Amino acid sequence: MYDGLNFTDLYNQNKNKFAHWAKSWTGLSDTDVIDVYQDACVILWQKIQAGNLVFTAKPATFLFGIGRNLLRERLRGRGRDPIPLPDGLQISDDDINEFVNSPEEEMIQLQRNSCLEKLIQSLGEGCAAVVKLTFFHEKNSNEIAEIAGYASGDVVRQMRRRCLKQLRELYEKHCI
Amino acid sequence: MEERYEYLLDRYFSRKISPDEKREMDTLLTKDPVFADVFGFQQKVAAAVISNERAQLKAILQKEESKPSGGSGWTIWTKTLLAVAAAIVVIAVAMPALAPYFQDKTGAESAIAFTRYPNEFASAGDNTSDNLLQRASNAYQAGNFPEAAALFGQITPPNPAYSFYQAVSWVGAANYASAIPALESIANSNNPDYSASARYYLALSHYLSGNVAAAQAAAAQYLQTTARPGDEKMRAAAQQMAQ
Repeated sequence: MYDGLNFTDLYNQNKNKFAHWAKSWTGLSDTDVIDVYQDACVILWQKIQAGNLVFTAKPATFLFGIGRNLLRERLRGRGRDPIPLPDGLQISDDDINEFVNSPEEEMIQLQRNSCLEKLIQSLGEGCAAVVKLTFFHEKNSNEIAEIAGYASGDVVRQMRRRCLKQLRELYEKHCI
Repeated sequence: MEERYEYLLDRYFSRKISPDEKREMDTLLTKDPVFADVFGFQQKVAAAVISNERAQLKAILQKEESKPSGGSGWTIWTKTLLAVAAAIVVIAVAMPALAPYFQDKTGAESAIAFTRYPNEFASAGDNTSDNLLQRASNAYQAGNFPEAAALFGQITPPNPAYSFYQAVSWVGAANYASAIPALESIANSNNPDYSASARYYLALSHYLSGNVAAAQAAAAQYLQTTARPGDEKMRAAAQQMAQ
């Protein structure tokens, strides 16, 4: 449904409308609203790329839905009620929580993420690609085999097992 | 048991887990500390990967945001561009000796753009609409890259050639988030036919998605591969990206 959709076009096409709408009921600054809008675009783009979205509406509908939840989180503490997402949009708490941690949690998580990311890159391009396809693009072993040209899902599983084992050893040595 | 863990986690992280499998997983998480430990670590890895990838995507949008926008600013930019264009025309007309310089310079700058890799499947299959390879090849040839990418991905059994053409099609469709990991994998596979070219398209994907540092690194690696007849334009573009 969204074949040919470009990331920056998605962003530019809906930005002004979103900013106007968000400012009208949140009272947040331009900077805050654009920041939330960018986060919403990033989440939606990831979902589109992963192919796991249930396509029941235009991208703008999803963007406003995600943005509404992110705005709600920014306004938490001001006594406003949660607003439901549009039908077909499945955004997990993890998707939202990444943007709403406390400063302390955020700092710890940033340090851990940065350390882990460096280690993932150090494993080599093959491992890094399999890890990225698994956890960011949400592809299973058979899909990864197809995308990356491996003989089968079993080969991918073996490779991922080896990569994650190595990553764990490095993580315990360098990131804890 | 380890295989069952892997199966469940594969299903979980690809968001394809069934309600029964989710129940099984929840039970394991409460009763099997080994599984809980494996799952906990993979969640940390997922968080790191997602955070990094999202940061890269957000950087693209922040860069987009810093571009001049429409409205009153548009007039100023238009005037500036018109003034620059007029100046170039005046100089090129008044000083013919400089004209070749401008032509060469313009040609060189436009070298960094998506160019389709030669279609090796142009005469593939029996030309019926049921032949996936033929349909993928036709879509690729026609420049319908989103469809080409989807069709190359459906051909079974998959092979490195189809994966490569799918990845190149993703680049043509400006779907860099899908193209980059696929091209990284092909580039790293040491396939004699496609590894080097995958490295070029990887550099191009990084470049076109605004990650100049990654483009430089990939282009430099591509330039270290052996030159082949017909890849002069790719090498010229890679030289520019590597700078």
